[in-house]
Amino acid sequence: MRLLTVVSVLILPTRVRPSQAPTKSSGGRGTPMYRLLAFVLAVTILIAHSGCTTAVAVDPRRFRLPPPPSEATRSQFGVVRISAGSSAADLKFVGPAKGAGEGAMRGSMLGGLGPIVLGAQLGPGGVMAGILLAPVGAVVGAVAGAVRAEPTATVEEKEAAVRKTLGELKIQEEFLGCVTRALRAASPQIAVADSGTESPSTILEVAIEMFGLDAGCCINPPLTYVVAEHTRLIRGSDGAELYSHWLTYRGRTRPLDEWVAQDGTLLKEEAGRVCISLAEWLVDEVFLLYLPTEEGRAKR
Amino acid sequence: MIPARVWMAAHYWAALLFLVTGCSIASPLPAAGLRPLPLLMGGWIRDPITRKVDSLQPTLQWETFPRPEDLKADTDGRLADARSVTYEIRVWRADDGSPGELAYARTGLAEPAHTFDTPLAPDTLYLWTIRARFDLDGQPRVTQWAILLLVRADGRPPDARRTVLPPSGYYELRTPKRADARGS
Repeated sequence: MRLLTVVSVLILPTRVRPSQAPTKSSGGRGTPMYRLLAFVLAVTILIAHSGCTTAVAVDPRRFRLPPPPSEATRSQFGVVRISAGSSAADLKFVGPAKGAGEGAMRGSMLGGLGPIVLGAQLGPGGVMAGILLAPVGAVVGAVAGAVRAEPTATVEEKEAAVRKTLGELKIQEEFLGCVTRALRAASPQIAVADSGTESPSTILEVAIEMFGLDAGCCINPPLTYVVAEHTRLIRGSDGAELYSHWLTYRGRTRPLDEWVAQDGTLLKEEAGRVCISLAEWLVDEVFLLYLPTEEGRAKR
Repeated sequence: MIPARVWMAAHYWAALLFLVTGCSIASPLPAAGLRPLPLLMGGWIRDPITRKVDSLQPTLQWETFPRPEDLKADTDGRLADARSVTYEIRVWRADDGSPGELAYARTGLAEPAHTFDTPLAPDTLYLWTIRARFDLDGQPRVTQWAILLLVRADGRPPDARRTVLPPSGYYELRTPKRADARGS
């Protein structure tokens, strides 16, 4: 977008040399109408650009783990209560193409991009050849996509089965249980408060933000079970946030038919397995991990 | 005119220099956590990433914790007080390059080496990792799970602190075919 802005300003000059000044009747570059058009276009692009940059400000901790809590912070944990975060879990389903129309669309995108990506491996000449072949690839891809895609009703039926299975999981409560068990198993020295009985020094707030099945961009791709959680450590006395992280676990990948078979047995098993693994990572990160390295030292 | 003997000597020394610098440029591959021994080397002379073992119950070795580099990085000097160091090992069947079914796990290993006490499957690719567990001021602590920090086939960047799990970069281990296995 930044490049577009620069290019638009460069290719749409609002001043021309006197020798090139067109007559009023020509209506070419340098006329008031042309200047106005160039100005409006440049301003529009600049506004769009600034809008994009402000809209995508994302917490970097979503991509990179912060250092674990310092030993000084850990020493003040005291009695820890594990509670569920307030946000609701977003159920994700990115599945196969629904019907010939969507199949053709996905196929044309893949078929069009394929020659360019392959050509890029060969250098600038390859990219040019890829661009020339892209329309052919798009047509071939569209036909293949339309043929390979399952009927809309079939995919929607399987999607409904997946949503039903995932909806029955009670993911927040399950994850809370997994974290509690992982914490008790990892460190008997940490005092874990039973809900409501003790006033905690520290609150470990855990929330599943997203869970479901995710697929690549293909026509009928296998789907990966994915769970994303957000953890916050909150000081009980004043509610101050001591630490926060996000973790995303990408579990097994299977065809949609396997996930829905036998009333979603494999999906339930995978959800249980990922719950245990993710909870273990969370507990390690917050309570156990010691990093004697640059980043581990930063706050120690 | 340069005598043939001088030419021969020049080629000999050039070849020797090439070998020596090649060896010296080779350095341990970037990794996080404890590294398996012998170290995987990169540079001009590069070890294969996948280690082939000659037994279905191989012996794996890794660095002792704390390493000199850990003590050097730990400016607060807390690691000098680390007590009760043990090691944990986990081994998964590789499933399309990612850890699949957990095949083997042991905790409380007193030495930085372990011989499998049950056989692995023949001709199978496994992923494995280790970490140290220790006490610091009476509290249990762990090191991060060992991984190689390489740009893998999936293009993920080498970063031990990514938020996506499981991490890429677990060490690879291929077992022999049953007929080739030592002791079979």
